[in-house]
Amino acid sequence: MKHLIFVLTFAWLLVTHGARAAEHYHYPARNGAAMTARTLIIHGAADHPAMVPLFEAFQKRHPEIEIRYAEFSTRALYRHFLDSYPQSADLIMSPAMDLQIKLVNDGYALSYVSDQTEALPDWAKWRNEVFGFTYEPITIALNTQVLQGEPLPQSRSQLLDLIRTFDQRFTGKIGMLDIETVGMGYLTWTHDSQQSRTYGRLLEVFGSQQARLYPNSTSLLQALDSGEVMVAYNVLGSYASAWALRNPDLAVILPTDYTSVIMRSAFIPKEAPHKKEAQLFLDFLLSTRGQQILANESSLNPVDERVTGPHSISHLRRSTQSPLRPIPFGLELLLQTDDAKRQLLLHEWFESIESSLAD
Amino acid sequence: MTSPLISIRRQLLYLSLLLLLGSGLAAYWGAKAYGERAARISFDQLMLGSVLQMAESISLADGDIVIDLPRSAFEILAMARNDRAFYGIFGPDHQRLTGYDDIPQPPLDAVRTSANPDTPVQYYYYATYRGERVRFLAIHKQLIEDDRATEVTIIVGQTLAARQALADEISLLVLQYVIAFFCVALLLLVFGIRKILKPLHTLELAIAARSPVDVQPLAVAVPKEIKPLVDTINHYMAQLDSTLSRLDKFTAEAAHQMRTPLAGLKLQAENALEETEPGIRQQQLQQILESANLLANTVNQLLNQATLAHRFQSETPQWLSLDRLVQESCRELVVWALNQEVEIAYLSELQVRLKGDDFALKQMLRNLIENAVKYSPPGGTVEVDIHLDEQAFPARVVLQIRDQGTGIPDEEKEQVFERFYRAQDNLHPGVGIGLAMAREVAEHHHAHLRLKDNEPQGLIVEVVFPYPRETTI
Repeated sequence: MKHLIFVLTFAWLLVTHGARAAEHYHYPARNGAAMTARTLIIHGAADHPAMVPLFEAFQKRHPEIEIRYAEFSTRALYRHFLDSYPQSADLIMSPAMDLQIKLVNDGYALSYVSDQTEALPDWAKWRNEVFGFTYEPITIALNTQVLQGEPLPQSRSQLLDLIRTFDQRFTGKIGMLDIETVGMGYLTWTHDSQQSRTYGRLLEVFGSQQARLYPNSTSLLQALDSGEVMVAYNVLGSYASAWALRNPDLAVILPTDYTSVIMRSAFIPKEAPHKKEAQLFLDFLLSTRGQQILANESSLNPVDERVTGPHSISHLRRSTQSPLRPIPFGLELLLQTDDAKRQLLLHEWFESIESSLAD
Repeated sequence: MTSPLISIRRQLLYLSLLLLLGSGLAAYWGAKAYGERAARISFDQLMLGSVLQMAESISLADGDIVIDLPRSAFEILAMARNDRAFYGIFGPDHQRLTGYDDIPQPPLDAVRTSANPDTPVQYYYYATYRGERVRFLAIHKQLIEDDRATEVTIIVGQTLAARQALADEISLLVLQYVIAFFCVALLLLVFGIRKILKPLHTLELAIAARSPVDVQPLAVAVPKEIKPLVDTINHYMAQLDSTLSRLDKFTAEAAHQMRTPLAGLKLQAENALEETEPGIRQQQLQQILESANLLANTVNQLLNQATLAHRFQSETPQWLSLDRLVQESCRELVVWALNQEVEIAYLSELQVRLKGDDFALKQMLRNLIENAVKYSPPGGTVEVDIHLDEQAFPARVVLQIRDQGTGIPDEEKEQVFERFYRAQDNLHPGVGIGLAMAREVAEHHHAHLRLKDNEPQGLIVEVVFPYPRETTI
């Protein structure tokens, strides 16, 4: 892609709120004629590098469309959408399934049916308004230096046993996404709270070990890489694997008790100014070609089961014995957005941390 | 010529179709209502389950309301796969505790149900919320902790897609049955109607196959509903048969009756031509005139007869005054009678109105009175009387014409009604049509004409009319 005019605008840090800061990227139309240019505004939470191959491939097919991508953290994306409504982007992409479902349930999404959306399995879409396009396991990443000869734990209880046995090595060395500010952190943690019989022990051990919270996956994995933390709990498998390729000390565990799976999803807001372009992009994203690009050139795991390659669902299923437990993509997720529930969970968490401090 | 009515087959078919369509529509509407009700009840139950689970998870802890909603409450709502759902939990002063804060509160006219004392009172209502029609359910729950008590309201709402889908599915199923039933019923009807109408067709064929002069009764086996039609046809044919034979006889008789006097006339005229004696010739001419008069009389009567027959078929009966008609007839004949030295006395003061043909009745009266005068001895009196016979049941109007002539012996009393019948010893001029015609007129008026003996001698002609419904005495 050498001839690509690639304008990266580290732009306007929206200073309205620190957490709502967004990074903006601009891909001008490639046919040069600005007069005929069409625009597509995407607000997403995916790391920009993961999206680049997709945008490029899309523009190759539709050179007349310029793309404006703004990257937010999941919760900031949600807040930004509500705060600026009825002004909105053309496509909202986020791995925070609960927040996406909430927006759709509240009636902000446009219904869209095409060959591509019809090809999606029922569990990967809701009401033909929001569509899952990735299928990403949530993993535990471990810096193997901490093992000092101990075998690599394969499940949550093995990990907890390990931490209990060698609690000195783990104090302050457990990292997690901030469940209060990072939507995906909250989503995966609440999923744990519903799924696992080990949730009580997790809470207790993480609290007593003074687990640290990170504002995004990158900073968490960076901390793991540098040894600042030895365990990164509930990180996206795709990101963790990418880091593990560069640092042989890092091990990625698909827990054998259960492995949560999340889906990134996209919807077109009812107030989207460029609905046609958004639909074109959505179709491209869900098409076999788009999914194959995710698998081959981006670090994201495509949801399309026909796609092959190391990031594909079929490969994931073949390569692990761990039961994959996708977070159901539907109305059930409304519970995750419940304020009272949220207060309770956060309260539990901070209480657990504080009680260990008091000890 | 009246325009033909719509065919029976078509009428039957249309009627049955209408009935089928009507019942089909009714069945479909019923099914639709039933489907909607069934869907409403099942999904209301699901909502209730969800609400009760939510209610279960609300408690008071140290005076604070603690809400830990269970996942199952949302899983129940998610069973309506494509429906949006909303919930809200509100404190005693309607302040939001969690969920959607702008969710519509139950209106005053919400449907209240409480299945049993263990379940709380439920308020069901519809409202438009966030751009869609939504079914809501609200309940109140008392929270009690030690001596503290407070009340929370739990509201859950769900859009209607799944309900509609279920209702549609149920009514579609019923519609399929209705259509199947409709087709089968229609098929049976078409065959049934064809089978029922088959005897009519057979009858038609049987009639069409006949020669135009065949007036024998039809012998076709038909259902009892069509039997009257066949009977009527047969009756009509019998009448036609008798009419034809009567006409036949009448023509022969009339021809005979006219040919004989004509032949006589011709002979008399030839004789008169050859006669040279003026006295005899005068006498012969006189005879010719008399014969001609008689012939004219015969022709008149025959024509009258024909006129009457025509009137009977074409004129509808009118209300008329019988007494006035009788008086008129008497008046018209009284001078002619006096010439024969016979008096006509009209004795009645009764006023009778009945339905009939005044021309025909007048012909009858003239004939009867003329006859009576003709057979009366000079100086005799013909009495004409109308009276009411109230002894008979039903009451009758009796018209009598009495003379003091020679009368008619009993054995001839029936024969005189035959056309052209003349008693052997009858010396009076006449053709023998009058009485036959009078009887026809009487019968046309549903009256009975009979002959009686007068005292000490003579004849009474009696016409007995049924008592008319509109009579003034």
